[in-house]
Amino acid sequence: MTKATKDTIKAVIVLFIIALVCVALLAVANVFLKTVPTLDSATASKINTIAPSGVDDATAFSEGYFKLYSEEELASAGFDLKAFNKEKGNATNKVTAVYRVVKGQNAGAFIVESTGKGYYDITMLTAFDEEGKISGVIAKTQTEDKFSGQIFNEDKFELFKQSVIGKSELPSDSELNAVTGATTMSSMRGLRQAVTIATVVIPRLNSVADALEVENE
Amino acid sequence: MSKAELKETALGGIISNPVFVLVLGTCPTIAKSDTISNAIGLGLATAFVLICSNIFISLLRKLIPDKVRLPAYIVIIATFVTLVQLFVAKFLPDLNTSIGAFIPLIVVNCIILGRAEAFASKNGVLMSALDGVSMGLGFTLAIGLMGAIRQGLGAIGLTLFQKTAGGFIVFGLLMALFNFVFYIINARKTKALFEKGGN
Repeated sequence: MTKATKDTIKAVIVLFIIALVCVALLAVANVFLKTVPTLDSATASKINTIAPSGVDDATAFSEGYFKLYSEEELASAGFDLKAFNKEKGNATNKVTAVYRVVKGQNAGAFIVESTGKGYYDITMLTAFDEEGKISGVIAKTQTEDKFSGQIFNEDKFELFKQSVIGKSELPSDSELNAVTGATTMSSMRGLRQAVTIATVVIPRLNSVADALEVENE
Repeated sequence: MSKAELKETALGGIISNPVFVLVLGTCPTIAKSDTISNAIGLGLATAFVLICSNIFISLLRKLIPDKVRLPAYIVIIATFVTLVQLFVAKFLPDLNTSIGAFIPLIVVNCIILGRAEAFASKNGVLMSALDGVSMGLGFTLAIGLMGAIRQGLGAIGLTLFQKTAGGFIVFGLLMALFNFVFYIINARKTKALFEKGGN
C-alpha cells in the first residue's frame, strides 16, 4: 500500500469518526432541546383569529377555550400522529400539533399546526370547519420575509387565504403562483406543503372527533 | 507562551477586530444589526460557536489530516451551530423568529472558519479558547454597537438606518472611525519611539 493510499484512508477514517461523534452529540442534544408545541397565549391569540371563540384573546386563553391534544390523547382516541407523519410527511413537512376549540362560537373546530420548508421552516395554523373545509389560516412562525419573495406580506398572504378558504384541497401550484406572483415560489412551496398536510390529516381527525376529550383539565 | 503573545491574543478582538479591522462576517453584521437585541443575540450565538469550535479544532489539530481539515472544521462548526439553533428555538422563541434564519449561516461566517484556520489549528487549547473569547466578544461588541446606533437613529425617525442601506452607511462610518483611532494611536506610539531613540 502506497503512502498516498494510506494517507487517504486515514483522512477518510478521521473525517468519518469526527462526523460520527458530532452526530451522536446532536442526537443527545435533540432529546433535551427538541421543541414541543405548547398552547401559550400567543398561539391562543392566533387560533382565536382563525377560529374565533367569540371572546377576546386573553379570556379565550385563560378560560381554556382551546385545547391542545397530546400524542397520547390522540392515540387513545384512535389516531396515531407519529405513524401519520411517517406515512405522509417527512422531516420538514409534518403535522406538529392538533388543537381544538372546546367552548364558544366555533366549538368542535380543529386547528392543525403543521410545517413546510420554504427558504426556511414555516409553521402554519390551519382551522377547519365541521365539513373539513379550511376556515382560516395563519403563520405561527416564519422567517420567509427575511428573504426575497415576501409571501407573508399582507397583500400576498391575503390573496393566498382567499384562494384556500372554503376548500378542502389546495389549488395547484400554478394556480397559487398565478394569484400571488412567481417571485414567491420557494416560500409558496413551503406554505402550500404545510397547509396541504393539514388538509390530509383532517379527515382522519374528523373520524375520531367524537372519541376525543373536549374538556380542559 | 510569552506574556506579549497572551496580551496580543486577549486584545485581538479589539486591536484586530473581526468586523472593523479584518472585515469578516460582514453579511450578518449588516443584516441583523437593525436592533440591539438582534445584534447581541447573533453576536453571542457567533461567540459561542467560535469559542467551542476553536477549542475542539485545537484539541484535534494533530489528528486531523491536512487533506480533510476544511471539511472536518465545517462539520465541527456546523455541530455547534445546530446546538445553538436548537437552544434558541427552545428557550428564546422570539429571538428565533427574529434571527433564526441567520443562525444556520454562522456555519459559513468567515470569522469562525478564519480563526479555525489561522489560529486554532496552530495553537494550544487555552490560547485558542482565549482567541475565541476575544474574537467572539469583539464581534459581539462591534455588531452590538452597530445595533445601538441603528436602533437609536431609527428611534428619532431616521428609518433609513434600520434598512440594509443604512447598515452599510453605519458600517462604513464606524470602520473609518475605528481605523482612524488606531491610526492616531499607532502614530503616537511611533513618534514616541523615535523621540526615545533620539534621546
